[in-house]
Amino acid sequence: MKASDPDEPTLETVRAIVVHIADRSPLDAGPETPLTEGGFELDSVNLLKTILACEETFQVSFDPDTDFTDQTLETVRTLFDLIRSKQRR
Amino acid sequence: MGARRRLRAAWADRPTPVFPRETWALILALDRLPWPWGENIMACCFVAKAFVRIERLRQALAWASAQQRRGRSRWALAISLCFHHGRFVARAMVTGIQDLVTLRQLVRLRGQEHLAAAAGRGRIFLGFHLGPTSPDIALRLAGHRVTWIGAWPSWAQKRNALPPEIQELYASSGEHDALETRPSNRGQARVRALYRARQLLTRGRDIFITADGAGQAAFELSLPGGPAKVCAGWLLLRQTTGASVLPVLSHMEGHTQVVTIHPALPSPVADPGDDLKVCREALGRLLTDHVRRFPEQCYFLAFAERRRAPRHRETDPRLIHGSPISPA
Repeated sequence: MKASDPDEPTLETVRAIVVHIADRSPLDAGPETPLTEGGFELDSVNLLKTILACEETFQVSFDPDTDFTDQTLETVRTLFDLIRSKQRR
Repeated sequence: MGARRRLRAAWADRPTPVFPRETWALILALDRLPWPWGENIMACCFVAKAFVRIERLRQALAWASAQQRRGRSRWALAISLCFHHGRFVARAMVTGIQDLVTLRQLVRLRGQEHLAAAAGRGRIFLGFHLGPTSPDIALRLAGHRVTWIGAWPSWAQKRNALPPEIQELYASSGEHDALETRPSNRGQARVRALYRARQLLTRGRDIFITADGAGQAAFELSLPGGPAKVCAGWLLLRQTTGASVLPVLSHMEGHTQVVTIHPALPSPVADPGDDLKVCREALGRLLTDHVRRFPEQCYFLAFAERRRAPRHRETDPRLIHGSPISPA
């Protein structure tokens, strides 16, 4: 999945990536929907797939030690914030 | 470090929840005996324990009943299974083995010729809980650098319980202590481990990962005696890096742990569904043959949590599946 403009991640693009990878999505899935339990139910493998798709789409790279925390990978919005913070650097 | 301080540090290093206190205390006590006394005593303890914990014995007998035994009695196979389980627990901690010379005599690596065919890019050594644990030790002894991806045995967890020479072997033969995927560690530890594993593979490094531990199931294999779950993590690593996957199986021949590197799985195909099918067929053949040859060593399948009645479920089943050795 490629974004139209790799420099401009949007919440909607990130959400679309998650929905594409998740086995199931809540009907009311939005920016605050948890990526894991109680939301998209992404397990570690699907979470990694999501991260790799975001890397490719938005041309960012992550540092697993500092970037993958309970907070950054909590919801669609926190993932979006993480991507934006990586793009600013 | 003095003996008393080392013992204290070893006690503090107990790999929880894999080893209950009593098992860990027994390991540390038996470690002071000359090899192979400790291994043999531990093996006998596990046989005795099966007669005390009857559920364990029932599981062993059920496993034995499901095997084609070729003249071997069901009871003999069940007792041998418990005996091997105890021996593997002791061997996992190199109980009674105090130096590399002795360790080298007790570990044999076969199939190194398959490494050459997979050279030049990252390699995934794919292990299974179908025999003695820590097969990566054979690769390290043979001079290969390999990073263990998994919850246990993380050498850092048991470092103070290992003799200095063996500590040094781990320290000099690849990363090991940072890739923690313990399922009880909620949060994103597994994601970090898989991501880092992918980074290593893309740099042409080798990793060791077990296919049937904790984690999301990619598929099940129907093996003699019951199904075996195969996880999805290594499959994703293979599909996203193109790394060669070399299945590694381990069994005991007498007191020698034989670690066999098998030929690499076929190269990944573009369609993930087709790739999964290729892997399932190749691994199904390999593991079925292994279980038929060494049913007395497949404790992990025999004592798998799924065989227990729900009322015995006292622990998170993911922890059980995450443990190469589950002595409890």
